[in-house]
Amino acid sequence: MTIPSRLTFALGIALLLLLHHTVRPLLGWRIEVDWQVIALVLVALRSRPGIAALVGFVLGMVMDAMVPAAFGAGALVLTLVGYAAARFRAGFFGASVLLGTVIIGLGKFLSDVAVVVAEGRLRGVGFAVQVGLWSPLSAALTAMVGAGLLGLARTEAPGPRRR
Amino acid sequence: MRGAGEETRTDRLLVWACVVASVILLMLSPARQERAASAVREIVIAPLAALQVRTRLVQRAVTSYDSLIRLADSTIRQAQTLPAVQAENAQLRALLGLGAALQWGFVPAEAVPSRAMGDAHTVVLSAGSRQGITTLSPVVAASGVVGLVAAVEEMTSLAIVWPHPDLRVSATSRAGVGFGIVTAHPEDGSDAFLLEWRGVPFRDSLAVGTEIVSSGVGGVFPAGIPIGRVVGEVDQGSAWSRTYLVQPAVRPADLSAVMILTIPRVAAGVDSLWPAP
Repeated sequence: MTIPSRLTFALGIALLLLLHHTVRPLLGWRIEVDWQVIALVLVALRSRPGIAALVGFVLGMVMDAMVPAAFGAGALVLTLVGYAAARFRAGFFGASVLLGTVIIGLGKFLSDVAVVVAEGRLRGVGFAVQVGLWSPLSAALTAMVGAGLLGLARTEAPGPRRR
Repeated sequence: MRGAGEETRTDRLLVWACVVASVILLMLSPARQERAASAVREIVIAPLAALQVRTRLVQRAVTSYDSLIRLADSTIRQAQTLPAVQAENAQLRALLGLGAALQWGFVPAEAVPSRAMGDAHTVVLSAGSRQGITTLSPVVAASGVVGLVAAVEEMTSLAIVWPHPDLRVSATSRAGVGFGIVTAHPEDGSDAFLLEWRGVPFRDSLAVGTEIVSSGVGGVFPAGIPIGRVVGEVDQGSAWSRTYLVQPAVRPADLSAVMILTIPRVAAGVDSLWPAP
């Protein structure tokens, strides 16, 4: 990866994190795109598993800072999402944007569920609606946007190692 | 040379360190979790919150553009006659109302809904300790009680708002009949946004539509701030007290600007600033 392409990639990730705090509140939709998860998976595509996990941990902490009752839940889930994405990348990502899309969707859904469970505020029907309706729809929307970005990033990303 | 996706010992150490750190954070006491979250908010969220405030301003500018143009057109047309000007002045006074009436002891702030699952029960306010905000400062709007500052950073603060289960306000009717505590109504569905006024003495029967205001008991909220209106009574099977359902005067999700009362203002009171309609 050349220095200009590294810079482009870093700017792209910064842009995604910026979108998370500008476009998301601007739209104010109940079903929202989680740009942080997309940025994490894109970083994981090009990083070592340890670095991807660390980035996931930091992004998760930032996410958790807004929900102190669940502090640590998002960090734990995004650590595992970052690690899993970087590990899977070695074997599959070079050939499959689909798998990256699934990881993004699953990561968004699991981070939502982890925060809801750890926060313990929603119960009964409210919990079921959140976990059964809004979180899956948000995860699907995030995965769809992520698929497009993965398709764009794929032209730059290195493929799986061949022996 | 190893590929980017291959795992080394350092990678494994990093992953385990992150997992262990996350679990430790999860197991911390609520007070320590709040301290850690506060540190992250101070370093990372504060500039991002400022960015969110800017974004909300842009959103408001875009969405209100047409109505502003219509308002400007009608203002020009109506400004030809004195009664129209007087009516407009009255409208503007109503808009400015609360700030002018309070005069001192408040800090205006932008309210940005925070990331939360389901209905937003917390908001980030664009004022912090630098503006004199402290924890437990009441957050109000022109129509009544909004919430309470739960955590304060230098430039921002975090407030819990209706119907957060931890938000409780001592209340009475506008006429001073019945005292009790207003808190969230623990129901799902269409009733989830309503509040409960609990512990009202059985002898104090109140009609639907009765206005509920803060009583001032407890010293956190000064007396006389509207909370909502009674919409019915909940049968809780108690022989000694009544529980009423209350429709909140303020819907925090619709708010974008609020006022945070300072502690000296709370001590001085806000009597008669929210007159009965």
